[in-house]
Amino acid sequence: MTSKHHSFPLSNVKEGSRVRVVEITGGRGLTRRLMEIGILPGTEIEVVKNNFPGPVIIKNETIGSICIGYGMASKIIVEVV
Amino acid sequence: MRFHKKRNNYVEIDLEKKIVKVAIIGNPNVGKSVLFNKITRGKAWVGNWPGVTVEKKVGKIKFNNVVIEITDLPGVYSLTANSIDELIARRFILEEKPDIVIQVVNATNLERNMYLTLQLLEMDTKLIIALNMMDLAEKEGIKINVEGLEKELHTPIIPTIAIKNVGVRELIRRTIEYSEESTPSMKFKVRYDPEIEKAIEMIIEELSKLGVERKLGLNYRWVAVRLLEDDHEVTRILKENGFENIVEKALEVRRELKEKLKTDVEFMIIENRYQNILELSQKYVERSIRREKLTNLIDRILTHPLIGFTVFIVVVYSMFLLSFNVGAPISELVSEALSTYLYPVLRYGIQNEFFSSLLADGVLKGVGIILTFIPILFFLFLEISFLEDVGYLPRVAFLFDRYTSKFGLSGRAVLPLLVGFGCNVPAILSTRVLGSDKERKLSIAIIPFMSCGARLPIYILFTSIFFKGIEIPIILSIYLVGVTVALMTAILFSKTIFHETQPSYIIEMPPYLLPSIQNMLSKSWTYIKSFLIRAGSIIVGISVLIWVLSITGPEGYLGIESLTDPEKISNSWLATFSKTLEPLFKHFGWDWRVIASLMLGFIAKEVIISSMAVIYSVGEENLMIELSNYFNPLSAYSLMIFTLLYTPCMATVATIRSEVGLKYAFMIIVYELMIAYLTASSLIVLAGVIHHGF
Ligand SMILES: Nc1nc2c(ncn2[C@@H]2O[C@H](COP(=O)(O)OP(=O)(O)OP(=O)(O)O)[C@@H](O)[C@H]2O)c(=O)[nH]1
Repeated sequence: MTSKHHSFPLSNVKEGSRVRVVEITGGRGLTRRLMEIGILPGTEIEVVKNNFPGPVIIKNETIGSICIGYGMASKIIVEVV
Repeated sequence: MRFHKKRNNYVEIDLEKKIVKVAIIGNPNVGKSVLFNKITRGKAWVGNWPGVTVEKKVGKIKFNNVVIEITDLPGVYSLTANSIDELIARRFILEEKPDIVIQVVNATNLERNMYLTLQLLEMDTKLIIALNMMDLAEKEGIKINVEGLEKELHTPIIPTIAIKNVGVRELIRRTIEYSEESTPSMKFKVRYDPEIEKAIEMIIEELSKLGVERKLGLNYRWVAVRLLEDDHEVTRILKENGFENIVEKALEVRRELKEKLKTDVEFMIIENRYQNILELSQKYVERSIRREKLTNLIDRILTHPLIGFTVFIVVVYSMFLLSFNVGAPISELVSEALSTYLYPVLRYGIQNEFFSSLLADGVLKGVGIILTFIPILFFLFLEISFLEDVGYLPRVAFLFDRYTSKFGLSGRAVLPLLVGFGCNVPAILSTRVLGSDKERKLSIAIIPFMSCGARLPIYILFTSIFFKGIEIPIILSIYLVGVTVALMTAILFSKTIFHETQPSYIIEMPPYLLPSIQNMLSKSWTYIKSFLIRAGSIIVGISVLIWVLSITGPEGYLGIESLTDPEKISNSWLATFSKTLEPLFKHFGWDWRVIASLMLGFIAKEVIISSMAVIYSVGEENLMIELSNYFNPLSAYSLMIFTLLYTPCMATVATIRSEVGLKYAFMIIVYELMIAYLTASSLIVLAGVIHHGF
């Protein structure tokens, strides 16, 4: 189902779309940091704002509303739901 | 456990007070600072955690018979030790062993906040939850079954609305009460995957065989979980105490588990924690549909590429207008009052001339400079607090980050940097709104290159003599040189000393809120207080030192006339040093008098002009004519560039020192002197090449 073909970095997602996290491709530290605030594989998030190539604002009930930098966003691989 | 004392307000004469050590912790932006201020009623000692630019606040309050000593820990999402903040918070809890830990939780965002809660419970802290922002939760239609959650977690939960002081008293009362109770025997336990639980059991068994808990005072289950999470701190502590074997064993177990689970254990553990949290929230949290139309609408405007920037420019412009148009006249009034009323009293009212001059020309000058800063600081901080509390700053960060991240800065740094054009001191203090230690240090290093208001009169004077008709482009070019040098410095520093080319951060996007005036006032007072206390003494000290160097020389005491007599001042230490340095500045076409004026400019950059007037022995009115004999356009331009870039004024230096420590402050000063010298020199060389051809 989650063929690589349909997944792309969060940094490239259009504003207003809902996506599901597939995997985090960063190092251990980054992966852990993101997971600890609730960005886990399988999590659904809403992309509120995207200032490509810049930061992204994401939102869901667990995470709340946060802004993450381009570097981080480009390491979160997502698929559109 | 501490002794229990019966409360009796009348009979109790025993003055020996019970001290309850409390630590307050929470995710960023949950209202921790506000709550801390409410609990301590604004009375707190503010400093830095040792070795880093992370703010540390400690307050003490008396409540009936008990003294509560409360420490504010940095805002963190977890206690894994991902960042210096997390490490500080964790070490404090493990090493200082506070009697009670209060976690401030954002009720609108319970799930993510509870990740930290679970970690705290696992660490075996005596935890109380302050369920804050209850007003917003209600507005957003979030219902939390507090009693149910309290029971399941075996942890007291006190609903609060920090900004309205709701629940604060109850929180304090419950804290004291809870500190007297014994630790609850029942505990909430995070349920991990069965395979992980098995591994935990096994490690606990090993640990108890070795008696680790007794020796290190660490909870077994916590150590076991941390070992499975590959925690470097715990590993280090165990190794240092001769428990290498258990570390090896845990490593093996991790490897085996990875085979079985087909994923990294530490990630599985995080997922398990969130599964526990989701189960809890399904039971105890009820959400009806949120209405956030307004926030969304404002967001769309403020983060719009075009409108957003326009709004930002208007906001910053009005900020400057208010602080400098209202603040500056008050500053002037203060300094005039000091010089017309207080100065004569000190200078001529005291018999001993030396002593009176020390007070008037040394101490009072320093105090005067400190006082003149206050009105501007007050207004600027009020505005910055307003922008912070209303929720605007994170939007600015979002807007600018795209551009600033190329220089190793996050978008949040834009505001402090812009404030630097007004005055470097508040700019440096306001870097406190930035998240990380690195980011603060980086911004602080480049803020002095933002040409502050005090440097402008010098540009105006020199351009009006040497660049008639093209003053504005010349002055603009100076500002531009400052910004360019700042950005290049940012790249250099972030690549070398900070080893980080792209800032990685998480910024909360709070809903827009009406700020409370009281909170804004208390915030700006905190800023001003730390400037007064921490930077104030240094400023007075330097001012006195410069006074001493002006009235004494190699031949000894010159008399205080030296302050106004150019003949005498040329024999002072100040002149002597300047003359020694003369060869270094020959190619600029400057003699010792310029160098001495620049040295005096350390007091405050605007002092350069009045110092020149004294040293060249002309009134300020005639200074222009006099200067045109000594300078040409090139040496004038290099002087302006040098003024822009060299060591910032002593108030700025003192503030840098108090914010980031002596070592780093010293490094910045040396770096800036070097940059000023090199830039001005290369300008001269370049001009020479252009002028003479090849
Ligand atoms: N509506 C509402 N707003 C609150 C409440 N408590 C705090 N705030 C606001 O929330 C914002 C954040 O509060 P702070 O106290 O600065 O948060 P903090 O947890 O110290 O944040 P960091 O400094 O990032 O760690 C401020 O704008 C406060 O005015 C509350 O109970 N209700």
